[in-house]
Amino acid sequence: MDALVDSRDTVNKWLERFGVRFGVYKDGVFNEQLFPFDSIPRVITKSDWDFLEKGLIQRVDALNKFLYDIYHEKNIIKCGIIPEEFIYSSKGYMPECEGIIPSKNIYSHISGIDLVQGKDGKWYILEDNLRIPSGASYPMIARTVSRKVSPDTFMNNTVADNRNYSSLIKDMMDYVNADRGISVILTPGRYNSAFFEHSFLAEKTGATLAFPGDLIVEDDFVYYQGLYKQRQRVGAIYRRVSDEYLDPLSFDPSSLLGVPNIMQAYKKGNVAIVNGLGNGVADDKGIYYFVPKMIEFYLDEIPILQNAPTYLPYFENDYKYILNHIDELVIKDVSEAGGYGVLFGRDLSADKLEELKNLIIKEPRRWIAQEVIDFKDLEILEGEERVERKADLRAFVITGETTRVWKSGLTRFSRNPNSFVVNSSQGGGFKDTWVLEK
Amino acid sequence: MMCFAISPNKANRLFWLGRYTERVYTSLHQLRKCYDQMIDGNAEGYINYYNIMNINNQYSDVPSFTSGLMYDKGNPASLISSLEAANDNAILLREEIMSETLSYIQMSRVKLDQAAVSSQSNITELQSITDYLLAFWGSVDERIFDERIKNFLETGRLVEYIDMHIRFDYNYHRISEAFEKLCRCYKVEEGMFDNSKLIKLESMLNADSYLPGDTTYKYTLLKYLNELITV
Repeated sequence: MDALVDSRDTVNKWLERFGVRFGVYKDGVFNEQLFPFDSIPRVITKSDWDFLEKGLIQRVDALNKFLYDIYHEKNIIKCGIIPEEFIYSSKGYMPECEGIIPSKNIYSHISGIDLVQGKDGKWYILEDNLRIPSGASYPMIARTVSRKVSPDTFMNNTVADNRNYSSLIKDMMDYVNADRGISVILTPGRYNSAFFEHSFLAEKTGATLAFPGDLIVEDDFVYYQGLYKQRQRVGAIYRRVSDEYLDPLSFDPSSLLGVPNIMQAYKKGNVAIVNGLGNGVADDKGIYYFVPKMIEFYLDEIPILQNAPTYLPYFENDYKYILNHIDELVIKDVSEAGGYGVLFGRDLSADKLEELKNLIIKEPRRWIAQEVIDFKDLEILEGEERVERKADLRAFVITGETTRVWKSGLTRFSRNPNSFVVNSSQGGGFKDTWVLEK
Repeated sequence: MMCFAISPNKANRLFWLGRYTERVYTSLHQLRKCYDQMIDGNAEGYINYYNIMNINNQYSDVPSFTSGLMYDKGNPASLISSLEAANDNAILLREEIMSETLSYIQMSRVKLDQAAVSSQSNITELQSITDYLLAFWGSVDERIFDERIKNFLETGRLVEYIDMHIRFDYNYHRISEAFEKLCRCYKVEEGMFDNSKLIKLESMLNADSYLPGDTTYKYTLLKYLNELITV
């Protein structure tokens, strides 16, 4: 592996050559940056992976059943497992999705599940991303390059090949595709932070990259518009546009990124939308608390993977615990994402803690609190020196004909020695994730 | 199912990608000629370049001429502006041109950015960009199988080639051969051409009526050429 580690700069040069970048808006200015690659991989043993794989499939299957239930019978509410206000006050719940049956009954086709490994070796789920999880293309292209740069490393280690991510996506899109139309990836455009991924996945899956304005709906069917009024029926849309911007006639009327009337086509089952609309209700940070209960409720199984110990101020006991231990906990605003709205009690002054307490008292549904997991640091290269930094793992679970876990993942790390926040938008880098076959 | 439709925006991007890569390629060639003259203390080449490209002469000396033509992002005719425009189109076309083809534009961009940071004024140091652009077109030939996609790119390249060759008074035969090729592109995608302009160009580019020394003629020719494509 040392040969690969020593080749970090060469790998990064190749990534630069292929335009592997992500966009960041700061102070209203858009900049494209290289996503720094660290050549020391995260290595997951076969036994750890086998365990994770089972747990992730179980979790995503339960989440898909939950989404169907919420937009149909609502048995989980009727049985008192989740209080109804958690559903209806969630920003991700979309009443417009009530009663819709998506193609093949799948809501979350691509689930990005964020995990960390504690120092004790235990894996904990940090959050579920069921709307538009991104990031798989970075380790995929990094692996392609790493194998060019250091072939011996891969001859001498039995690492599962991760370059099949695009074929997993293609197979899933073919499976859910309505009436053999074309598959498209709908991007908001160049200035989206993950545009590299949109274009790269279009290339690798053979899907057409569609921009706002390229798609139209007529008689409840979606078409890709070509020159000279030529058009082609669209059967599956891997959309990288948020729910609220997807159809200006159903949601935000000011959206220029969406496709007017696409909801009508979706409702009639004339197009598959990947991921389904309304998934935000399941990856709400407040709902996260209930996922182990969902697994028991829908699958009648014991959850394989653990959540990080979480408290909801909504419940009386948790409320008291949070207010009494606020300085030991990490408090998360359920409406924020991307590492924003995450507050470590231990880092706050007495005044700020008091302010936060008041916010929790005022709006208990807006917050969750978690024990700070002392997660395992991973080695990264800082200059020529190996140092340890916090890192998480985003596992990608693809649900098509079956639910499969991509044998790799996006390992993001913090470059700041004192930070637990690993998001690329906040300066972090990424590593390849090796899953050992033996 | 395969997608056979090409959106108007995609056709437009392919066309302009072809144009801007050709503009960078020919500009580099022209700037190397200017640089060569400048070795003997003659800055006429740069001044002519500014005039031919209709750029306001806002630079005062030879170093500012060279850096302005190469690295001034505020100058739409500079190398860096043209290459950024090529890149802006290429990056939106990855799934059609493939990452390998795109990589030659990316490498050109990185090379030019580095040269800009170090204020490299020796144009011959940018030879690798010329090499990358040749590789780009080789990769287009090698990797793109969709004839229509290739045709949009080639049309853009030829329009720019003819434009630059007319402006810089290249040999008539080169212009006429490029125009013949452009007419072959027309046969693949008639809908993107303005027929009336094509007929006028055909007539004006006839060997007997070619008048490169006539400014009005040249201006009219360039006007028709730049109005030829309708995507």
